[in-house]
Parts: sequence; C-alpha cells; structure tokens
Amino acid sequence: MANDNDMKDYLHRRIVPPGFRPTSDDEIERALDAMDEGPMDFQTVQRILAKSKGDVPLGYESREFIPVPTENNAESNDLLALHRSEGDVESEDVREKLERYRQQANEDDESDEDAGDDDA
Amino acid sequence: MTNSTSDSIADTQLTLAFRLMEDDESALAEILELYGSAIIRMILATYKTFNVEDAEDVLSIAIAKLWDRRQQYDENDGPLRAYFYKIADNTAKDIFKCGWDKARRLPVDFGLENAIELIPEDKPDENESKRKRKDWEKRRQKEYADLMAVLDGLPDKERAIVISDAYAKDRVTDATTLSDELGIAVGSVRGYRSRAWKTIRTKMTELGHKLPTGGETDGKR
Repeated sequence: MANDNDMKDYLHRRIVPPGFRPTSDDEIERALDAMDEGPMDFQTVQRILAKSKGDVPLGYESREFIPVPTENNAESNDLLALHRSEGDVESEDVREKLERYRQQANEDDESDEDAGDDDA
Repeated sequence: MTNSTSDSIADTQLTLAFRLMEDDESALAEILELYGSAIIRMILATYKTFNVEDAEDVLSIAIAKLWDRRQQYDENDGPLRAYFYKIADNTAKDIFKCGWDKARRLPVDFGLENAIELIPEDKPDENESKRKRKDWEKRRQKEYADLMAVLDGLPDKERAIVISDAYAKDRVTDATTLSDELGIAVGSVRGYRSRAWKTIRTKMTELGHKLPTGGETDGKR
C-alpha cells in the first residue's frame, strides 16, 4: 500500500501547483495577501450567505440530470413503464420483454466492468 | 506591509472572531466581504476543474461551517482568515473525495482530519550550486509539462479520475462519487484508475522521468 501512497502523493504534488499547497498559517496568509484584490461585492456576499442558509440552492442541487438522447428512448420509456407496473403485468409477451431488457441491462453492466478492469 | 497595517489586520480578525463567538451573525457578511474574494481566487487557482459558481458554493458551505464552529474557535486555530481558508480548502477536498452532498453534511473536524496536509515539498538541496539548482528547476518544469501532456492524452474518464484523486482529501475519490459523476459502474473505477496509472508510469518513464514504482495494488484501493 505504501507504493500506492507514493504514487498518489506524486500525482498530487505535480497536479496541484506548488504555490497552492501552503503548509503553515504564515504561508496561507502570504498566499491570500497575494490573491487579495479588494473586498467582495455586496451582491456576491448576499448570494453566498443565502446559499449558506439554504435559501438559494447550490449549483449541484439545481443541476438536472439530462438523459442522453438515443434512438431507443421511446423503448426505454416503455421499459420503465413496464418495470414500474410489473405487479400488474399479466401478458406473457410483456413479461418476456421485461426479462429481455433486464438481461440486456445486466450484460451492459458486465461489459462496462470488464472495460474498466482490463488491466486489473 | 508595514507593522501598523499588519497590526490593524490582526485586530480586525480578532474583533470579527469575538463577534462570531458572541453569536453576532452580521460578522459573517463582513468576513465574506473582507476575505471572500482572495479565498475564491485561491480555490480557483488550486482546483482547476472548479468554475466560479463552484468556488462560491464552496465558500457558502465553508461560511456555514464557520458559523457552526464559532464557539470552538481559538487562537491556536490560526488567524481567522487562515482558519476560514482551511475550512474552505478542506471542504473542496471533501467535495472531490465524496461529492457535494456528503461534503456539505460533514462536520468541521479540526485537528488531524481538517489540518492542512503536510506533504513535504521536494526542493533542490540549498547547498547545491546555483547552476545545479537551476538545472533541477528546468528538469522539474519539463517533468510537469510532460505529465500534463500525458494526462491530456488519457481517455476522458481515466483523466478525470486521476485529477479528482489528486484534489481529493487523502488523495483518493470514493468509487461511488466517481461512478455517479462519470456514469461508470462502481466496480470498474479501480480498473480505470489502474489503467491510467500504468499509462502514466510507462509514458513518463519513456520520457526519462523517475516515478514511484508500482505498488501492491497498482492503483487499486
């Protein structure tokens, strides 16, 4: 594990610029002095305070998941509808289709893992 | 900076700290007004994948944490501005480690957990000649440029994992966070990381740089 940490430290030290890894309060103060270009404007202060109190959502809260459009979207919506109403599905055809979709989803998941684990 | 100016800055920080400890919420606006811009610039310069909105959001989480911890602050925690910066910087590291939502809910745990990371800087030996130190700087700059080029050449997901790890607390991002952000299976994160490390090691070695040797897990946790 020690070698993992050596590599992690190496990448950290090379990716984060040296001037931005202060190691003492004095270094922090000096770095902040260098970055200081005057007071923050009133609007920004109020916006940050409103976010801190939860009155305004943070960026990550307002980011909506946008599905990637594919040719199979209509079919995917059908699948979702079928999946949600599984308890009420009586037709054998519909059940078979649902099962087929599940198998396909499992296969996709497995191939994704394989792609990531090639060099493991 | 003159002595009287630095004394006045120290007095202002002390006054604001006392106001916080006396539950004066209006001190928060002044803290942001005085120290916010510099901290945002520092966050943006450190964490290159953040945009201005992200940096403001880091500050909004940090100011809430500063308020929550106002009664525990004492002078051993450092000047108020540095203290606020450390909360913001650790918040940023937590975001890379475990995502926005979890980082926001983590308490400020000052002490070892929230102290600044003390990874020793590798510097040229000060007893070396000026020329040797200059050569060292040159080599370091080339190594940095080569690494950036190697990172640029990685597939997007591998590059995202390496950069997120470098910014994260403990220098590793949770597999679940990466899985959510990159749209990959949790179980495949280790494989992507391992492959990225292998490419970095191979290419950097080809370019004449010495990297830490492969570990037992070679990039896997």
